Amino acid sequence: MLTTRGFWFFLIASGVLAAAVLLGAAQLTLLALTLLLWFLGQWVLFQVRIRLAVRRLVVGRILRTSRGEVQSLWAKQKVEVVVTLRGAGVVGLPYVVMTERVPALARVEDGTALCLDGAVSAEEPLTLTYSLECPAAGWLCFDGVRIQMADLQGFFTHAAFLHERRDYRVLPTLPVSMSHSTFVKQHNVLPLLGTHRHARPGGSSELLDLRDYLPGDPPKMIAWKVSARRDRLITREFESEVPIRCTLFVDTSNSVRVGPVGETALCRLVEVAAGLAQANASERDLTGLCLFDETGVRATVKAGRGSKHFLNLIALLTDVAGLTPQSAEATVRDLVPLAYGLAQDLYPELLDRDVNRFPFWLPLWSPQPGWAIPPGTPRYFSRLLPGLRREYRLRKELAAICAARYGLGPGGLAMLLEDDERCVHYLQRFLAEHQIACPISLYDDRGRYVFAAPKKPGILADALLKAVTRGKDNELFVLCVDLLENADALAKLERAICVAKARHHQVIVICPWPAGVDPPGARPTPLMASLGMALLLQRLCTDQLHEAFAKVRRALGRVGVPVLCAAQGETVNWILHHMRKLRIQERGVR
Amino acid sequence: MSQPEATGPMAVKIAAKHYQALCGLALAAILLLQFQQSAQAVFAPGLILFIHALTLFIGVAGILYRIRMTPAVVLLTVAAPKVIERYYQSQVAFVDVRGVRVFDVADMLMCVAGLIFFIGYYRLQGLWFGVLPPDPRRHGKPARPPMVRSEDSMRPAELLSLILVVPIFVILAELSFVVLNQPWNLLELDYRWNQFLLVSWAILLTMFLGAHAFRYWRRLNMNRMTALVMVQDILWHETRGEQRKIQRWLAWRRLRNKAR
Repeated sequence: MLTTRGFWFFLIASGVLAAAVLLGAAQLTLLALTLLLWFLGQWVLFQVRIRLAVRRLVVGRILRTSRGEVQSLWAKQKVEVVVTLRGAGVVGLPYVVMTERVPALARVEDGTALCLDGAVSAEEPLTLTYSLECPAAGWLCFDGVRIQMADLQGFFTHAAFLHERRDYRVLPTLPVSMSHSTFVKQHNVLPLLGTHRHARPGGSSELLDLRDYLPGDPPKMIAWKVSARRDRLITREFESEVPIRCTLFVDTSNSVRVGPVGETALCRLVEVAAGLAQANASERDLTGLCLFDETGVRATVKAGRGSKHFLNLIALLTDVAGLTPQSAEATVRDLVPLAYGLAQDLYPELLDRDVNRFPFWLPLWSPQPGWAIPPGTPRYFSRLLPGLRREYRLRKELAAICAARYGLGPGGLAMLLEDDERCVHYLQRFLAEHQIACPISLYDDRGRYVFAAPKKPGILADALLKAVTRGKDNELFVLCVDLLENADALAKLERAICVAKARHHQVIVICPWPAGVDPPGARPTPLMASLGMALLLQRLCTDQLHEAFAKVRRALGRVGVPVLCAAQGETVNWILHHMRKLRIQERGVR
Repeated sequence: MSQPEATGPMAVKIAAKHYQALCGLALAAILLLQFQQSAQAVFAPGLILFIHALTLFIGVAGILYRIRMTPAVVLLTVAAPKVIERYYQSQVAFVDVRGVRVFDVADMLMCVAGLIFFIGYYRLQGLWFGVLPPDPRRHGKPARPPMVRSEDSMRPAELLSLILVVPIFVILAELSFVVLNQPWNLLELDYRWNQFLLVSWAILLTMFLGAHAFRYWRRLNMNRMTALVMVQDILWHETRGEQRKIQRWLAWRRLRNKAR
C-alpha cells in the first residue's frame, strides 16, 4: 500500500519531471528521473520482498515458568511468553513491526511493550518477551502475531497476520490445604476406604457398639473396664470409614457467562467445582460432574476417582470456563463493528479489495427492505445515510469471510447479507471462537432480563432426579447454579430436592454472585440525593439481587437446603469451610 | 524487556545523527553545484541566489529540526532556479536540448547528491515521525512507539546499501535520458511534448504492468481461505440480483414462521 508520504513524493517528483521535460532543463530532468526510477525501484523491491519473505516467516512461541517450558498453566500463575519471528528464506525484510495479540484471558501488566520493530531475516530474528497471568481457568488461545512491513523510507506498507494458533489449557487454581467435610452414611455399597462415617462395624476409631465376646475376636478389642463391671468379656465394635459419591452440577448457561473473559460467574463456579473435586480426590471420594445450560445437559461424567478421572473433570471444567454469552437479541449493528475490527486485525488479506469487493452503489440501489428485517431491530430510514453504506459494506465483507469460514455454500454470502438472525448467529460464533465478548444488552425493551432462562431450574431438576435414580447409597449433590433470575420458578427444583432428601442424599446450592456487586450481608450504600444516576441504578440493581438471593434462600431453605453465595472476593477454601460448618450443624457430628 | 537479538559484541550501532550527517553532506554538494552553475547565470541572478540561500536555510533547518515538508520544499527550490533559467532562455531564443551532454560529471554528482539527500531525509522522517502510517482506528490519538522507528532497529548495512544503490539509479537515469533524447516522433507534435508523452506513458505503463504482474503473483500464492473468499465474492457479484431476491424471501418466510 502506498502511504501518504510516498504519494506526495511521487506526485512532486513527477511534476518536477514534467516541468523539466517541457522546459528542456537537462539536469533537472536527470535529477527527477533518478528520483522517480529510485521510487519505482523501491516499489518493485518492496513487492518482491513481501511476496518472497512473508510466506517464509516463522513464528515461534514458548511459555516459560520457573520450572521451564510448559504446555499448560495454572490460573493466577505468572508465565513468561517468548515470541520469535524468523525469516526462513533468503530474502529478508528491512523493517517489520511485530505486534503480539494477547489472548482475552491473559492479563498483562500496564506499560508492557507488546510490539517490537526491526529487520527480520534468517540470521536475525525478532524476539519479544513479556509476562502474563490468567485470572481464571479456561483456554489461553494465541492466534499469532500481526506484522506490518515497510520500506525504510516509509513509502510503502503491508500488513499481515501470521496465524500460529496455540492453545494452552489454564487449569483452575486448586486450594493447597483442603479441609474436607464429613458425612454420615446410612447405607454403603462402596469399598471401605474413605473418611466418612458409616454405622457398620469397621476399622475406624469411632466407637459403634459393645457386644459379647465371641471366640476369634482380637484381644485388643476387649473393653476391659466394661468386662470387669459386667463380669463377662465384652468386645468393642468401631464404625467403618467409607467414601461418598459427590456429584457436581455446574450451570454453564448464558447468565453465568456474562462479563469480561476470565471474570465471569462461570469462572467462579468452575473454580469452586474444581476445588471441590480436588477436596474429594484428596479424601478418596468419588466425584461426578454434570454440566448443563438453558437448553439441556451438555455433558455428564459418572462419579469416579483416581488421577485420570480427576484430570478428565478438570479438562471438562476448563473447556466450559471460557464460554462467551450468545444471544438472539443481539443486533447486526452492534456486532458488525466489533467483528470487522477483529477481521481487520486477524484477516487483513481477506478484506483486500481484490479479494472482497463491495460495489459502492449497492446500498443506494437495493438496501435491505423493511419486511426482511426482524421487528424491533434498529434500521436506517433513508438509503442516503452514510451510516447505512458503511454498515452494508462491513457486513458484506464479513459475510464473505463467514460464508467461506463456516462452509455455508454458494448462497452463504447472500444469506448472511439478507438474513439478520443468521448473520447475528454467525457473527457471534466468529467472535466467540476468538474469545471476544459481544456487546449484549442484558435487558430487553420491556425491561426483562435476556438470560433469565425460565426452563433452567426444570432442566436442573431433571438432571438431579436422574442422578438420584442412579444413586445407590447416600450421595452429596452440589448444585453450582445461578437462580437469582428464577427465584419465582423453583417449584420443580424444590420437588426434585425433596426427592433427593427423602433418599437420604444431601444437597447444597452454591449461587454465583456478579462481580462488582456487594454480596448479601454487606452494608449498602446509603441512598442520598447526591448519588449520581449510575450509582443510583447500581444501588437499585444490588437491592434487586439481594432480594432475589433472599427469595432463593427462603425457597430452598424450606426444603432444608443451604444456599451459599460464591462472591468474587471469597476463596474456594472459604466456601468449602462454610459447607463443612453447615453440614456439621446439620448432622451434629465431628 | 524485549529487544532484537544482539548482533555480536563488535556490532556498530548507527543512529539518527549518521543520517543527519549524510543529508548535510548531500545538501552541501547540491548547493555547491547550484552556486557553481548560478555563477554563470545571465537571467535574474539575484533571484536565483536568493533561492539557493533559501534552499540552504530550509535544508539545514530540516536536518536539525523535525520538519515534515523539507524534502518536497528542497526539491522545489532546487528545481526553481533551473526552471526560471530555462523560462528566460526560451523567451529570448529557441533552445534545442537534443544532443545535450550525457554522463556529465556535474549532472551525475547532482543526481547522486540529490538522491542521497532524499533517501537519507526520508529515513530520518521514519525515525522522527514513524515509518508506518497511523492506524485510522485510533481516531486521531498520537502514534505510540514503535510506530516511530526505534534506533535499536537500525543496522549499519542499511547505510551501506544506501551508498551502493545510488550509483545504480543514477546510471539508469542517465541511460533513460539517452533513450529519451532519441529523435522520437510518435505524433506530429513539438519535440518536448513528444518527450513528455513518452515519459508519461513509460511511467504509467510500467506501473500498470507492474501492478498487474504483482497482483497475478499474489493470486498464484494465495492460501486456501483467501481463495475461497475470492471465489465466493466472484460468485456473489455474478449472481447478486437473483441471490438477493431468493434470500430476502427466505428471510421473510423465516420471520413470518417465527411470528406465528
